[in-house]
This record gives sequence, C-alpha cells and structure tokens, in this order.
Amino acid sequence: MFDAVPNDSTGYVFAAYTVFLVLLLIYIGILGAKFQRISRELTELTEEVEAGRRDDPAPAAEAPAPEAAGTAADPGGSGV
Amino acid sequence: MSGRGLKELSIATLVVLTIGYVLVFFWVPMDADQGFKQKIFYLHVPLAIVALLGFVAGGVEGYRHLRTDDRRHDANSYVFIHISVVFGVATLISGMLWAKASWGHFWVWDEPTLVSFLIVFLLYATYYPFRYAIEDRDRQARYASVFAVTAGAFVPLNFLAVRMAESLIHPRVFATSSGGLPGSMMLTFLVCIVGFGLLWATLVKLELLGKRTSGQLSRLRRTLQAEGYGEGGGSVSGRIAPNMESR
Repeated sequence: MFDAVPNDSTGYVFAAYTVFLVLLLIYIGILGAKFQRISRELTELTEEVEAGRRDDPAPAAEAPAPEAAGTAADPGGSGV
Repeated sequence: MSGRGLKELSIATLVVLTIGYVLVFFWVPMDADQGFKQKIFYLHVPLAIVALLGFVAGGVEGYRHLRTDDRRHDANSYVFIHISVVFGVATLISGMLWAKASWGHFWVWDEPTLVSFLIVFLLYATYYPFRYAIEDRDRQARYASVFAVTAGAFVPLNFLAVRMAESLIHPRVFATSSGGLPGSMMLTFLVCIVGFGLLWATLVKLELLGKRTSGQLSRLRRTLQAEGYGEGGGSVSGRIAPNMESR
C-alpha cells in the first residue's frame, strides 16, 4: 500500500487548498447569480408598477407603496 | 436568522481564516512524521467537523420545525444541510488528496473513518431528491424535517462507532492517551476551526437572506397583482426551495 507514496507532497497541499478555494468561489458565484436574478425581478416589478401608475392612476392611489407592501407581505415580521 | 450582521460576520470570517492560514504556513512547526503534507490537516479536519456539526444543527432545526410547524425552522434546516453538504464535498476532496500524499492511494475502503464519512455524505446527498420528490409544500417540509432529525441523530452515533472501531491507518489525533497535538498545532487548529465555523455561518446567512428576499419579492408581486398591477410572470421563490413565503 505504501510503495506509491510520493516524495514531494507540495503539489497535493497546493491542490487541496486550491480545490477548496475554487469550490468556495463557485458557491459564492452561484449566490451572486441568485441575488442578480432577484435584483432583476425587483427592477421589472418596479417598472411594472410605475407603468401601471402612468396608465391607470386610479388603482395606484389605492395601492400600497412598495415598502408598505413589503411589510404587509411579512406579517409575522419573521426576519428570516 | 436575518441578514443583520452579515457584513461584520464576513469580515470576521476573512480575518480569522487569514490569521489561521498565516499560522499554518508561517508559524506552526512542520510535522516530524508527515512533513509539509500535514498542512492539509488544518483544512480537512475543520471542514469535516464543521460539516458534521452542521448536519446535527440541521437535525435540531428539523426537530424545531416538527414541534412548532414554523416554516423558518424548515428553511434553516434545509440551508444548514445544504451548506454542510458543500463542506462535505470539500472534506472528501481534501481528504483524498491527503490520502494520496500520505498513503499513496486516493481512497482506502477498509478504513472506517473514510467510509463512515462517505456514508454520512451520501445519506445527505439523498436529502435533495427525497425533498423534491414531494410536491405538496407542507408534506415536503414535514418529511424533510423527519429526514433531518433521523440523519442528524445518525451522525454522532456514526462518529462514536468510528471512534470505537480499530483504525488501520487513519490517525486518531484527539483524546488519545499518548501523542496528540502539541500546543502550537492545537492553537492553529482551533483558529482554523473557528474560521471555518464563521465561514459556515456566513454562507448560511447569505443563503437565508437570498431565500427571504426572493420570498418577499414573490409576496410583493402577488400583492401588486391583487391591486391590479402587472400580469405576473416567473417568481424567483418558485425556483429556490424551500421558499420563505408565509402560508
């Protein structure tokens, strides 16, 4: 079993730390993409609301402001 | 768990991990037996410990969900397990590289420590298909919590079984009557454990923040649709499960 043990292990140490770093960066990249998607949807939603207000001012007067709607949407104040 | 304190936590993670790895590569003495390759220890072991503790924490949150029926605990359980699986992948890969450097083989099948970790990892890898095979959100959350509790209870039992088993080649560094880590190595190891614990907490917070935000966005969209704005469209929360929408 031990006859194939490499003499120079520097490469393995470097590889282990690099693999971890790459995994971490990939994960952060995926998270970043998720937040970008959320940001894009929020922008779309804001534009829809603004367009709706321009087209039909009546419901806009009754509609809650985005901040107020956000609070109402989280009635428990879950904070999660 | 909210996004509050995320910036401070991220900075603390970066600082502690940087200090840890400065200690690893510039301060702690070279291991007399293994030499330079022992440096993988400061990556591999903290990752494994934090991953296993994360699985147990996922079980605790699953239990809290079953007790309270509060969706937040289910989301916590999901995210704890999710991040721990990522740490588990890193543990397996770093362990395989360390095994190759030390023993000449990437994997040794008759070594209980390695195989038991693989079993735990594969067990948690089934969490995702198990969870998403159930369409009904309530049942999905409930069954996933039962899974998290059962698997979470298995982790310490598995750990104890491995500690009691006779190890062939994998070292037993802690709680041995002879040997063990010298002070400088132990200090460095503890700094690395704290660093990885902080990293785990940071990633959990980030993931939960994303779910919370997407859930709130989805609710906002529905509220606005009810008010007569927009025609709908895709919702991020539908794609990221479990979502954080209130029932």
